[in-house]
Amino acid sequence: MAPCKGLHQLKRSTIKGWFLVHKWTSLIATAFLLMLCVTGLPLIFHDEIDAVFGEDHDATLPGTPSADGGLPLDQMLQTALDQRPGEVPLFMAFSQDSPLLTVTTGPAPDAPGDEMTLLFLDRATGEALGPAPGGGFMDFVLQLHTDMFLGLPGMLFLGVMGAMFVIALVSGVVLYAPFMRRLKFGTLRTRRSARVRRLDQHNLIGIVALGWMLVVGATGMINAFADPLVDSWQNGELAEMTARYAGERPLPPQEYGSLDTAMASAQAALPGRSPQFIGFPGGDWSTGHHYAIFFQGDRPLTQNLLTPALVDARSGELTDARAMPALNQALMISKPLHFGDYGGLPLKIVWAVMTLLTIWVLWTGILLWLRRSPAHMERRIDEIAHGAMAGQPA
Amino acid sequence: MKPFAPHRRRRRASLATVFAVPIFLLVATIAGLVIGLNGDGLPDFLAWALLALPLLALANAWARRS
Repeated sequence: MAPCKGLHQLKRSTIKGWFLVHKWTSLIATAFLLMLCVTGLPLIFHDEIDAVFGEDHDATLPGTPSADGGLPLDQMLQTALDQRPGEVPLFMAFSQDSPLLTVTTGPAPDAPGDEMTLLFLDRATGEALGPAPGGGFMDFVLQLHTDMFLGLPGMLFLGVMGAMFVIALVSGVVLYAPFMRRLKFGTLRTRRSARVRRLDQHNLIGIVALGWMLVVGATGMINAFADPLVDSWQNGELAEMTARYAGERPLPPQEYGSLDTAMASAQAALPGRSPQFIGFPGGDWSTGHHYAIFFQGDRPLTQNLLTPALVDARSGELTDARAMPALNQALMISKPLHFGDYGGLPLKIVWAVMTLLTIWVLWTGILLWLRRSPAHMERRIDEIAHGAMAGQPA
Repeated sequence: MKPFAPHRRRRRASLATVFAVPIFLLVATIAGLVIGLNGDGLPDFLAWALLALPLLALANAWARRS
């Protein structure tokens, strides 16, 4: 029976390899994944939390959505700039639900995020609603969840932790197969050792929540690489679309032309589309000479797929309008799948329950590792290789 | 007469058997997540129903724990 034994041993060594991958990817990422779960929980309900603190203008302002119409954009921009003398406009963003219009200003066209001010305006009445309250609890939580206050390196680091999570999930599924060969799906053995009880919970919850964890893990990872993806679009396709401006000096803010003219040119090129935001010249989302007007897709599934129209900021004439590259589109599609904010309250509750289940999988995983005994690994691998048994002590 | 312990061991199930329920739940979850993206109303209801399946499977296993 030598060949058979050889085959068995080979299989055992393969299992050992996957076991080590599962153990180490999990050990490296667990602390950060727990942080992401704990900070992610309140973020799921940020709309509801904002509404409680009266910060949800979207739900309270009556009138035509700012993306569809209202007072002239030039007038709204002036109202915003009057509140921030000496500053220049960086972004203008529209709402699909209410007349809320936001304008972001900063000391210079290329101002970094922490020097920007977000202003709320009502496009139906022309009224300024003041600056967005910053530095609140939810901002803190979001920042921790996105980059741990470390900027781009922090984001990329968490992206790598997301990759570890996905590898841990895949290796966990590989180990699930031999382990479960003698057990029925859903087996939870509670009258054995604490280890068996935790192991069964770890395996069952892990396999049940697998789809959600894979999707949220993978989309979180893609989101972590958002900034480099925007940079590569700006340096690649955007530069190509606006090649004939390459040698010109950046347009100074006092020479910016009418936003309403620019919007009319853009909408003539992309009829029936709803604008999401405008990137002003000199920022990360435009060139030195253009208003980059980003339009949403016209169907729910493509709502997050943005198509930019580049309009000469001085003349208001269209330069080019082109869908973004596939990678950037994947990024945009992946956002709702990470946030879980697209299916009403029941979907948010699913997100919260799945997050709690993920915390439990992580926690039982830590306990299984902490409470290991000497020579545990060989025993564990034997157990996985032979299949856990319903009728024998583990 | 009761059989010996080795005979009480469950037979090794095939990979297809081991993964039958997990793959069903994986497909239901991903379908639910994607269908929900397609708008409000019916797509949302479908998404909720499909995403409830893994949670129901877990609740069922918990109720039958030994």
